[in-house]
Amino acid sequence: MDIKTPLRQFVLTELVYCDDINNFGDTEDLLEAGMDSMGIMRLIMFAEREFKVTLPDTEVEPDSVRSINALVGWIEEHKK
Amino acid sequence: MIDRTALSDNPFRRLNPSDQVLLAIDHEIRNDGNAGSNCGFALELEGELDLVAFQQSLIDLQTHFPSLSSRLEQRGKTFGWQRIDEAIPFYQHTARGDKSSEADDQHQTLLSIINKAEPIKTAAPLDFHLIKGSQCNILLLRWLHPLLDARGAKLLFDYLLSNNRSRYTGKDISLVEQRLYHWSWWERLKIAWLGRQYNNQIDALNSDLPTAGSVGKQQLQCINQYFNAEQTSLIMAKATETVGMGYKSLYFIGCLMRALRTAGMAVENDAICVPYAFNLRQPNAPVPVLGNHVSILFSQAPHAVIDNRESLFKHLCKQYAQTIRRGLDYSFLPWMWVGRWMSLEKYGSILRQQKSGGERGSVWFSDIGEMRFSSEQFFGARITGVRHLCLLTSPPSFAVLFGQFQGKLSIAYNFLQPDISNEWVNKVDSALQHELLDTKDDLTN
Repeated sequence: MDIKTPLRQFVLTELVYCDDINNFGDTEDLLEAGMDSMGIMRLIMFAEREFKVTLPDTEVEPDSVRSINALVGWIEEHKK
Repeated sequence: MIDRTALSDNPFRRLNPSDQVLLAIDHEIRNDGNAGSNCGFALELEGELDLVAFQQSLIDLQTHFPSLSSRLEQRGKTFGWQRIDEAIPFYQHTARGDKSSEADDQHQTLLSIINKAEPIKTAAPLDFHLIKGSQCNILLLRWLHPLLDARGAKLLFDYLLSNNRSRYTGKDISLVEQRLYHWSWWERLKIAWLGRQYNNQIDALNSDLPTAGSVGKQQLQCINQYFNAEQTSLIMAKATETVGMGYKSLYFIGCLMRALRTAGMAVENDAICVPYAFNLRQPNAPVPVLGNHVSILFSQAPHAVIDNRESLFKHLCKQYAQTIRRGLDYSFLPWMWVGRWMSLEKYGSILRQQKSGGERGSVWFSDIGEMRFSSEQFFGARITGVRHLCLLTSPPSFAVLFGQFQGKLSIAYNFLQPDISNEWVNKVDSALQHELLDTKDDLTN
């Protein structure tokens, strides 16, 4: 199942703003781009619902949510 | 269908459902005998402001956002901003006194602007004030809350600072309505039902209040507390350690609840209830600028839970996660839509009062977050600080606004006098500092 496409769509239309979605890199810093603590929780709920995973609150660390690629890695870790 | 009167070429811009909430609150504040929902966002500036360039920018601002120059008008049951095409008012004041008393005079001037009462239908919804001093200048943006929310006020400053003002064009629509119209009627009903459940759940416990509330005129006062960079980084580390990255605002709320318990509440019931706005805008998005785009969330904890620091933060995190998981964060949107057709009196009482008749919110709270501007220079002057002010209802008569600027945490205590005394606010402040820095023992110990 493709995780990155729906995740990118959700993050870049709901949680952070960028002038051109297509130009936002998968390694760009989401926290620098403005993702706040409420956004992080919203993201976790989205991932749990869409990808049928459980993402423990205790694992919410900068390294897990820093970029689209980091998020994909974190979700895939819990899909195993 | 999205409200087309919201588009900027129409001289009448109808209030969106979120604006209407703030209009009802404005009505409640005026009914309490106070000036209405005046808000203030001020920049502290070092150095001379280039007045010619600034005033030219205000002309551009009004051309770009014509409804900033308007008056509130009622057409049947509909309220909206009717354009009047006059210049955005800009006033200059000069602080009196010597260097030691000048800052106090500037502060008092700031408060007198926010406390100034004008009928809502004739008042300018937004104006600028420059309060000059020999040490520091203060530039205040004062606005009526139904016109725009705090994020929008920040965007107006961003616009003035921007080299690319065309970014702030388009999407002049209500994000609340956009989301509502995305749902089918059946979904709206289902979500409204969730909202009713959420409200019932909050109203099961009666809220503590810092004042019983008094009849008669109150004056807004404001005390600002600033933390240095070292203290701020310690507090943020404590927040991450205590509640994790996803719940940082809850750290402030939990610490505030405990500080209120330490200072003592005038009316003690079952729990402390903290309502706060949840902004539907994407962080850092340049549009929409005008209008309010917020829904409401609640953090609530009974006394026994508050009195144990560890259990309090676990409770708040769990409560918040459940709220988001159940979709309760959007559950008031359908009710806000219905609210547009209610009288302001009825709507105001529904927004404020619990089923038992008491005030729902124990304190107003906001975590404005890190304020970043594209430049440290504002028309030739250096931005050295920011201040936030808001008039509020009585009760609760007490608002605590957290923010960060240049890596330093600030707290603005906004409160109504004589309902709330300086001494009590100082007690809250002292306890809150201990809680934030985690230097205070458990209340039960």
